[in-house]
Amino acid sequence: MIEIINNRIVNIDDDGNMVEINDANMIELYNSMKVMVGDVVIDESLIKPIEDIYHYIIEKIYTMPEYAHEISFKSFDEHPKEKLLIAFNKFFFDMIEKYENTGPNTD
Amino acid sequence: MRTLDQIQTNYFAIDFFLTMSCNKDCHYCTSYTLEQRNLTVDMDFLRSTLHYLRDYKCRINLLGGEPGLIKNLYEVIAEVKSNPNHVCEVLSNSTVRRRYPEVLKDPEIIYVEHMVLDFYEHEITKLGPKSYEFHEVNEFNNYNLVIKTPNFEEFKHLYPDDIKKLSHKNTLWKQFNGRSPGFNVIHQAAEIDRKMCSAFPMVPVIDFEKQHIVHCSKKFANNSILSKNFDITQENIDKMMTFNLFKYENYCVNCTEYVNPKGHFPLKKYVSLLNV
Repeated sequence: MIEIINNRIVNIDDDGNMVEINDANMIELYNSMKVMVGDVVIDESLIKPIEDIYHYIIEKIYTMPEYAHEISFKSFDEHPKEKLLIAFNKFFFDMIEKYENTGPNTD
Repeated sequence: MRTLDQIQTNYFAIDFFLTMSCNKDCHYCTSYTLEQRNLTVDMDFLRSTLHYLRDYKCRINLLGGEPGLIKNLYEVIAEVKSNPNHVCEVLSNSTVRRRYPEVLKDPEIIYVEHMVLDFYEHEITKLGPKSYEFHEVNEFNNYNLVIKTPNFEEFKHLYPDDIKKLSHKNTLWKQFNGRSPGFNVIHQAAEIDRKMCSAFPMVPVIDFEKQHIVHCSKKFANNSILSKNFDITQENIDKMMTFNLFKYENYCVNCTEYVNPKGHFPLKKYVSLLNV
């Protein structure tokens, strides 16, 4: 389960262990998303097929955070916001999966 | 009058390759033939294509080949201009200046003149007559286009007066790409930029000879691998304009074309166009 605690992204496992996601770019992406779409919901069940371009935009903002701050988003209506949020969740959970698979070896 | 900056920000660009024929053979160009063919635009095809695009804000780039060779160019331009959603742009090697001078007097037409072939040790070679001067600062939306070839970088210091004449708002400096043999430009943009480019490539082409949509104008001719293409239908045009037609293709993986480091257009352009 993912929780946002004190503006930090924390992964809570089945045993209640909390592991902070320390990826600075991910936190920056999360903050950019807040500016872009307002309330950022992190929920894997939101993920559904959308056009590739939204995934590209999220990947672009992840790699180049300033890209998201080039403009104000007043003209952004709900429809693309929803799709951006879907793309964000897809990207986020893919990263979490990658993070879990490459985490510290505890054997 | 709409400025070029406004148009570049708010409109998608679509190339109309009216003919492959050209009266010049620039060493870095891949989309031309010296054979003179298809010099009259099929107006029925043009009208149907523009009709499919009627609701989309587009910058229609008329080029080829050389659009100045087109016999009914004024008729083509009038048709493009008839829709307020469409902005007409003409890219010419200066043949349009000679044959269709009215184009330069109309500020609603973006006229881009690619007159400089290249820079050499002893001269700047021009595609037009030597008597043609570069466009000065103007409010007619007439622009010089200069490609920053390897020779430009090597010899530009020899021509300070010319560079001064070109250094103003009505000159577009285009990054050179390494398509031609012998020019070993291998810079590759970050993969994400190429992906964004391929989603609405820089730029899609309507091929008037084969009458279909071409994904990438760079993989157009004289390439071992050619761009993917699609029939011109309302469905495909709608898909194209809403990011559903073009995908990241195998030829994008190795693309060495210059892609603007921030993506081929700014995010604010997506913002206004993604509201679909």
